[in-house]
Amino acid sequence: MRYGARQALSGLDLEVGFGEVVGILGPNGAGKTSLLRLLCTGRLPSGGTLVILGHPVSPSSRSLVSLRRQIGIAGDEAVHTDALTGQENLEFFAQLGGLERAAAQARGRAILSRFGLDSDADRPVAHYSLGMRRKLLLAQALVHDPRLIILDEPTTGLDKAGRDALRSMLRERAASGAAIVLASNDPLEPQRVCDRVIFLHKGRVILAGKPDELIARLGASEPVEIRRPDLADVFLAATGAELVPDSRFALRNSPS
Amino acid sequence: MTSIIWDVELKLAMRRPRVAILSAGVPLLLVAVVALGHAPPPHAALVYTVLFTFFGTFGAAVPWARDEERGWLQRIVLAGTPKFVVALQRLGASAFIDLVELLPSLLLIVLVYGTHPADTMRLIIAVALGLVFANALGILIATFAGSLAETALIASVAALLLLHAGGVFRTPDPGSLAAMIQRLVPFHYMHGAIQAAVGYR
Repeated sequence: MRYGARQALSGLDLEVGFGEVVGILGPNGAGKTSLLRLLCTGRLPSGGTLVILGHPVSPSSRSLVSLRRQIGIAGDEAVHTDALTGQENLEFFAQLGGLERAAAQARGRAILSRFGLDSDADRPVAHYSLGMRRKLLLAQALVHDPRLIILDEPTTGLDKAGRDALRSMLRERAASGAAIVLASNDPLEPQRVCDRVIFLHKGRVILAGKPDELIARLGASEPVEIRRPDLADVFLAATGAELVPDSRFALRNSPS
Repeated sequence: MTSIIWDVELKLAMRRPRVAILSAGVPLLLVAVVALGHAPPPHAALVYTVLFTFFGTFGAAVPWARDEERGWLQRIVLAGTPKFVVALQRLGASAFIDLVELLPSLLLIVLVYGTHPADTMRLIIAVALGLVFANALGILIATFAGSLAETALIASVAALLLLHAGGVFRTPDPGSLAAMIQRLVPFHYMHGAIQAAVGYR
């Protein structure tokens, strides 16, 4: 995938199975968001093959329309309509995803309740805090029961209750057969919720595997430390670059 | 898909009473100044045509460009709604809302100029069709423009050029190419209906 002359992703060979939660981990500019854009059909690949939910993705709008209704997306853009209530925003997206009005209403109520927003469901979104808007954004991605769920930095801005609710919903969706891909700067989040993680660096996959296995493999080759190693240590061992999990994940030393 | 985007647009219009009052009040004020100021009918008709055209063009172009910039339109497309469906439903809703907001202005024109009932009907239908065309023009421009400012600039220029081509600013010689072209521009018919409403033709 290219942005003008810049190659954003290359040599990528990735398969996500139904019922699987896959985390994409890497520093800023690694290609995480570009990969998510491909998966949600927001961009088409400049080469290679992209198959989503069993359908080869092509510029033909007819196939894209039905495919897109089966995908749930939460990026970083505020796509709420502030004059509508939280419930109305969810109903709108649920109907766009193909649900009937009554089903959309019921699904909207249920998912707002899971995020602890039931008492604010009928307030205009203009009165929502940033954290509440973030929860609503995630609820919009999940409300129509998509078969593929794509989340970019899903826990950013969420309180503990929100993070717990999201993890539990993602596990439930995966158990019911949805494929889930989430990108994160925070190494702890994929460690908690993902079946498999993929490390991206400069547009290439440098490492992939189950979080526990990757950490265990590192434990066998690295000196014993007092603290438990995490996925940030795996990234450091693979690239020589350090990911610092502060409020945002930063790349301290870029490898040559 | 039904009419979900149309429904949301109407709901939003009703949720914003201040915007609705301003949208109805500002053109009414302008029409009142011209109509009650005894402007000559051809000049008054020209002002009303330009006003209604800009009302429709900007009323569609600016929200479309804003929604494009904030990623809302892209999100709707990625939710499985083709862009042309969004555009058609927005166009219908926006033109209908514009007509409702312009009804007080049209009523004032009818009352001040004592418009004949047949010309009144023609006025409402021609303005409605003119608004549909103006809204379509606004959406089209906003789709291809790069920013809100660019949209406003191109929308102004395009609307003025089409008004000119529609014979609003001058009367072309009968049988000339310009006379032929003006019949292809929907604003020409809106202008003709407004001229009839103010008693010019």
